Amino acid sequence: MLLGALASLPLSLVGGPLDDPQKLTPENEMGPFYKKGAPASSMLRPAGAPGFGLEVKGRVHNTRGDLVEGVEIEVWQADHDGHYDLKGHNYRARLVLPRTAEYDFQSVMPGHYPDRVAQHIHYIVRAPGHKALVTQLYFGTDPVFLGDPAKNFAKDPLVRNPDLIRPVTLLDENKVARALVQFDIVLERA
Amino acid sequence: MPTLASPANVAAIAFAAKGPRLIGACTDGMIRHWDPTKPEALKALQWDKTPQRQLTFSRDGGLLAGVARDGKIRIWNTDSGALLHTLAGHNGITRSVGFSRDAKLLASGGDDRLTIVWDVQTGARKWSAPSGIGEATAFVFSPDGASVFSPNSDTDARFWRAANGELERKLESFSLSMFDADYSNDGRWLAMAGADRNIYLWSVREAKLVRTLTGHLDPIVGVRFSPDGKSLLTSGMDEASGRNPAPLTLWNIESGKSRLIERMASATDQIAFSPDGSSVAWTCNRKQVEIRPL
Repeated sequence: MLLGALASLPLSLVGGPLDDPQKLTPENEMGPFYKKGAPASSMLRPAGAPGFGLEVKGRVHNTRGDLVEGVEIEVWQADHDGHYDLKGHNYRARLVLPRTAEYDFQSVMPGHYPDRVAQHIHYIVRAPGHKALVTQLYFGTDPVFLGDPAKNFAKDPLVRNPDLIRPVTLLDENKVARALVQFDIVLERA
Repeated sequence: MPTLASPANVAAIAFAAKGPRLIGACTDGMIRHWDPTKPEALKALQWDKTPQRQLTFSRDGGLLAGVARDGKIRIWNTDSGALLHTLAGHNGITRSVGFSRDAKLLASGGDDRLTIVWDVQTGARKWSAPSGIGEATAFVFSPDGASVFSPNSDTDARFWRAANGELERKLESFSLSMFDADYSNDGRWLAMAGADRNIYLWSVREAKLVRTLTGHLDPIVGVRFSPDGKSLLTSGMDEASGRNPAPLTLWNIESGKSRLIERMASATDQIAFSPDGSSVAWTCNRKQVEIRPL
């Protein structure tokens, strides 16, 4: 259920790939801190690490609406304080999707940092017969968007398409608050 | 030596090949020329009023390239301020540009994942080729102009044949991206550095990485060889804790020993040796250019 205390936070209602299965997920830049060799894991957050809990889930399909088989996703993000782990692989993971083309990972809300305006998670999505997608996920609750991502997405000049800003659902589970985001992805056939 | 003053931020610098002169591209749309021993600019001329990114000088400081919001690359003569070419080729944002040593070629990379090499004299596209899935972070031509090296944020780095775009070699051994590179003037060495904090020396003759210099605590954003090829100047990022802000470091490539030249105001890739190697200059996109004798 929604936490009463947090329900006043702005929730994004912008549309996205789910609303139109024909619509390709927009590309977004890779950025400077991709690192090879991320572990196969659905847990990005190291044990005991601080931050506001975040779960991201979604499905991967193509422009015909078919689920895509053989998908691998690499995700990486800054920690809650806006720092990337360059020495190890904290907050980095490789997700191998089942035939249902569903993915799910646990992390924390990424922090802001000086060279980037908006909180974000990086994605590389690869699948046989499809063009590799490099993109980023943004959050409708990010204060940068002033509660209206569709209008204010360009507050971060690197956010060139509001479809990448997803609504955030705030959950209260055993009195522990966390965020849930659904980010479905549409790939282009090669 | 003095600090060179500018009424507007200096976004890019180069030492002119001839004469004691340093040239700066400023955010007020002016190119300024300084005598490096005097704080005030000798002359200032208008080059463009449109905000430009990726500002890059040719090696001799004679040409300046920049990318406007429209994604097009423009090239100016830095002595007259005249616009020589407007290059439209990338679909989307142009991320990185680099001149060949003789300034006859310009390489560029964009969000369209293409590398394009342009003929600077005619403004024509010479060739284009698909690059990595990330952004090209630099383009560095070998001194003889035969090869162009380009690291990518996908962590791979490519050598292209400058004449025709043939992929000569691809380096896939890095786990993090290289951000900058430079050839020694004699063409023997290519130095590269980036997010993993190491400086790698590539032997051109042996076509392999032969040495790694370590010591930076944070990612490296700028690398330049001294004119005699014996030293390297590197520029590091700020550490978040502020304990090690933006070091400018000089390395002896034979011994691997280093010495700190300065802690800069912020990390910058705009670092340069004077043509005689006796001093270094840098700008941190502020209203000044710093010069230090070595």
